Amino acid sequence: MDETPLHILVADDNQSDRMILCAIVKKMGHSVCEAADGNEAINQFLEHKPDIILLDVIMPNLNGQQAAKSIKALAGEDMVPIIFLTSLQEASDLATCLESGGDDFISKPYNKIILQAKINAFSRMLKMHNTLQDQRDVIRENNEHMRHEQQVARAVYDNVAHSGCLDLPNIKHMLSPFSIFNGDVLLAARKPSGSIHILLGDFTGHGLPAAIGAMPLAEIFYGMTAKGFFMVDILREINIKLKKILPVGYFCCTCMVNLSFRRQEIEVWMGGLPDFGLYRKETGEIERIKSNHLPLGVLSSQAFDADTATFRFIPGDKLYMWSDGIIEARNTEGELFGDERLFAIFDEPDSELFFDNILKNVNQFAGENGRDDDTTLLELSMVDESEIAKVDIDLSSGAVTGPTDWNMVYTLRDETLKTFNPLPVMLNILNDVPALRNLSGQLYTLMAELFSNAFEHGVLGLSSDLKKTADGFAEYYRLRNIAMESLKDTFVKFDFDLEPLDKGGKLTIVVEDSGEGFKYDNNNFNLKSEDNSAYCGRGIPLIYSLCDSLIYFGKGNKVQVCLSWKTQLEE
Amino acid sequence: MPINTSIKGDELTVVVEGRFDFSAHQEFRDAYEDADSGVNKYVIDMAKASYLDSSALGMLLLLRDHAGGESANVRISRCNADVKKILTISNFEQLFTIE
Amino acid sequence: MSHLNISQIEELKDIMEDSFGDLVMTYLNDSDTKMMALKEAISSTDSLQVAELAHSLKGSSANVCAESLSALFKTVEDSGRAQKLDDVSQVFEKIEQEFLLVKAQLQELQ
Repeated sequence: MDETPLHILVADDNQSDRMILCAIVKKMGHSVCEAADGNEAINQFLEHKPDIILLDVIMPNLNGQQAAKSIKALAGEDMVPIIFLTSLQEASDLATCLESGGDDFISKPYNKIILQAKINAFSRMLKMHNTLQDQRDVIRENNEHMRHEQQVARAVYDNVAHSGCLDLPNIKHMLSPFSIFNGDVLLAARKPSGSIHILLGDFTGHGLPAAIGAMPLAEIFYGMTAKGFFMVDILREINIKLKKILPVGYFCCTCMVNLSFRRQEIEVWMGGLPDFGLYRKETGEIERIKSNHLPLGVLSSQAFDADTATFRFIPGDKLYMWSDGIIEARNTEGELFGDERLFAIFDEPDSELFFDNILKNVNQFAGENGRDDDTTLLELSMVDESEIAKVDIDLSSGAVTGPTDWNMVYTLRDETLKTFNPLPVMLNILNDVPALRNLSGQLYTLMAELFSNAFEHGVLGLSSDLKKTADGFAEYYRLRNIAMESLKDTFVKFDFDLEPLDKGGKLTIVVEDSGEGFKYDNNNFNLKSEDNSAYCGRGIPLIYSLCDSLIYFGKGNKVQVCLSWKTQLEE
Repeated sequence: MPINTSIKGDELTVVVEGRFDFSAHQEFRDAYEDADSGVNKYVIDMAKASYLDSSALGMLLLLRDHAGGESANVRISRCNADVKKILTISNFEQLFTIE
Repeated sequence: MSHLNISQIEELKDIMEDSFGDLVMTYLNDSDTKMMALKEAISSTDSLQVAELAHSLKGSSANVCAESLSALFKTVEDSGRAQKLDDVSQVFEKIEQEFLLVKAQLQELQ
């Protein structure tokens, strides 16, 4: 006998028959309730919820088959085995019994052994069915929870990543809203100077673990880019963070790009992602950009290699970035889309169609297997800077008046000069002055030029003549690396002086370096570079255009610029 | 995905067959964790491995960590073209000897 | 000659335990009532009623191990279903006789 006592309904219009059945069932340890016709059977079912029903076929009022139909309908998802009590012999009669909802038969005279065997069998089936239903309900509930959690996670992630500029006119991108759960990350932000930082990341794994690393990564990316940090510094920070928080064996394959409109260059760092494509308008050729670093989160910060590659990038050129979701897309035969098919798309003569063609080809290839989740694709075009809106610095923080009357000197020496970029820190301090926030872009460019002059031309003694040719480019950086290795008794000093004026203020910046200076003429800053090669690359005309006054001192290693502004009246 | 091991002196060889992916996680880990503490060198034999995905890369990193991190002696040998390609893209030759 | 299947009735007694007597009484009273109705149905040549009543009695008789009695009821049921009630009265007489014998044996066993 089965362990679990059941409640069994006995429906037979014949009293003595009912008595026998009840005796057999009770002897098995189960409890019974009785009915003498079809209607009573249905009522008993509703009231007592029996586990198994023994149902006579031929009964007055409502017969067994009708009762069975009603009871099965009322039971719905629940399993209620019905054993018909029948002396019908015809196969067709038995068939109609099954159709009406019967699960089995037993004939008169009732055989105790057979009845017990059938009840036991159904008892086991019931247990299995109920276990399955319970498990299914638990799974269903867990799934609901997980779906809800994913939505919350996505909302949190969106809040961290929303300040991006993926909608700039020179960027086309494709990213599924739930790609975050495949570990794919696509971020874009403007630096104060106007340059664009792009980061494409592919975390190992799937689901929430893959998504979790994306949040600190996005915060660091956006925070540091807005403050004007260099790409390599941002990558180093992200690497440290991921190495710290991700377990061993988890990492993020990453590509980061710095697009400079002014220099018409892209600077690229690739770790662990498949080859990307760089399209050159002049030749119509596609250059492959290869991964030459380990993914982020693997190496310690001492071992981390921040080496970047720089490429000329002129209007008409395009960079294509993707995660391996495209290359690994499978068709119904299990074939991979692959790197060759992807690069073959660039054989098409019209570069305007590349982006759409990539998407179209992958979707066609994958067919019904196609899931948008796994396609992350970005096209970055070089355009004239005038086509892109000015950078919008967040002005929401800071006191109303801020500090209006102060002086600060900041000196960098030797090793620090080599490794530390002081511009973000200094810009941060200047941004505390509300009036200066409007001039943030101008200030940053100014300070960047002054620092570059002081460091590259002053301290390192390099001439930017070299940068004019392709070979010279490489030579310049070679000389630069050599000079960086032997910094001794060098410095660059910034002196900031802010004073209020009647209805406004004035900022004076003096930059001094330990270099040899150059031959300057304080009365003529618009000299063309051919006339005075020392001016070349020092961006003097640019600096001059950004400030009210520009004066060089001594041997040319000390320069003073002044900026003043009028306070805007409330409208 | 079957994993076999053999020891010769202080060198443990782990043979990986078929697809090296997440399903191999536990077996792979057991293969080197259960080994004698006298093991100093590790060889991952990929001759019969058809495919390697990012979770496999993660497993290799875990092994390297177990084997001493920076000072680990881990060789990944007999890789086919596909496997080699994946290891190259990830620049794993900076961390492992790949043959 | 036994009008009850002896081995089966022993099993029935085993199943019913102390309620065996109640079962016999219930069966006998129930059958009495139904047989009267059957007689009525036969005289009014109500084939449907004949078949239904005979079917019920066939079943309950089988359950109390009165196999021959049950077989007789089956014959009546078949005739009722076929709507050929000509020979039914004769069979019914046999039924009445068999019933008395079964009744006696059952009461002896109590």
